Amino acid sequence: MNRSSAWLRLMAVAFVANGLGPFGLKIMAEKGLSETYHYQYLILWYAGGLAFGLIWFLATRGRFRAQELVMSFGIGMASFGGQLFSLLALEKNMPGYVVFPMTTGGNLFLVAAAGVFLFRERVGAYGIAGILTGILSLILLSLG
Amino acid sequence: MGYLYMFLSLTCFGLLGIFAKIADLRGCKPGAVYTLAYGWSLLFGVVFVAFFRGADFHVPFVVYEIALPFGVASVIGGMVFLAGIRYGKISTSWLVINLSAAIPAIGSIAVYHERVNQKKIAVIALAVVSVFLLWKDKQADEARSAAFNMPEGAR
Repeated sequence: MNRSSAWLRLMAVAFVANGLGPFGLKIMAEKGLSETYHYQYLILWYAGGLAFGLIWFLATRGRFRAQELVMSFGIGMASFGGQLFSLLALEKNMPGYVVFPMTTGGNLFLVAAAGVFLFRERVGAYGIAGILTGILSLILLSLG
Repeated sequence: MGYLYMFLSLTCFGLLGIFAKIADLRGCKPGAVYTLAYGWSLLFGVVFVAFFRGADFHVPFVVYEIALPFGVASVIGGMVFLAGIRYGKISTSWLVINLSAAIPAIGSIAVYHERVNQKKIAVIALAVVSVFLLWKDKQADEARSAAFNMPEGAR
C-alpha cells in the first residue's frame, strides 16, 4: 500500500468516526436536552472517549511518555477551549451564522497557513483547489 | 466580547490541528496522545462546571446513553487522524477532518428525515470534490517525490 492510499484509508476512517462524534448533539437537541445539559453532555462525551482510550491502551500494554502528556495537554486545552468559547460567543448573542462559519473557516485557514509556513509543507494546485472547495463547503454547511 | 470569544474559539480549534502535527513530528503515539487529551478535556470540563455552572453534575440517564458512545466514536476519529497525518500533510488532513461535519448533516437527513434542499446537496457534493482534489494533491506529491527522490511535502 503506497502512502497516498494509506493516507486516504486512515482519513476515511477518521472522517466517519470524527463525524459521528458530534451527531450526539443533534440527538440531544431533538430530545430537548441540549440547552439544559450541554456542558454535562460535553463532560460525559469526553469521559466516554477517555474510557475507551484507557481500555484500548491497557489492552495493548502501552506506556505514556512525558512528551505525550505535554502534547495531549495542548490538544485537550485547545479542544475544550474551542468548544467553550464557541458556546460563550453564542451566549453573548453572537448569531450562529457568524460564529460557525468564522470559527470553521478561520481555523482551517490558520492550520493551512501553519502547514505551509511553519511545517514547510508544499501544497500544489490540486491541494489549493481542494482547500478552497472544502472551506466553501464548510461555510455553506455552518450557515445551516 | 462576543467577537473575542469567537476569535479565541477559532484560535483554539486551529491550535488543536497544530498540536496534533507537532505530536506527530515528535513521534508521539496516537492512542496515548488522544487518551490523555480526553482526560485533560474531562478535567477542564469538570472544573468549569464546578466553578462556573453551579457544580450541577446531575443528568438524566439518557444523556449518558447518548454522550458515551459518541465520545468513543470521537476519540477513535482522533486517534486514526493522528495516525493518518504521518502519511500526509496537516494542511490537507485537517480539512478532511473538518469536512466530517457533513456526517451529522447526512445523519440528520437519514435519521430525522430533515428536508433535503439544494444547499445541502451542494455542501455534500463540494465536500466530496474537495476530498477528491486533496487525494489528487497527495498523489501528485508522491509522484513528484519519486521523480526527485525527496521527502513528500518538502520544499
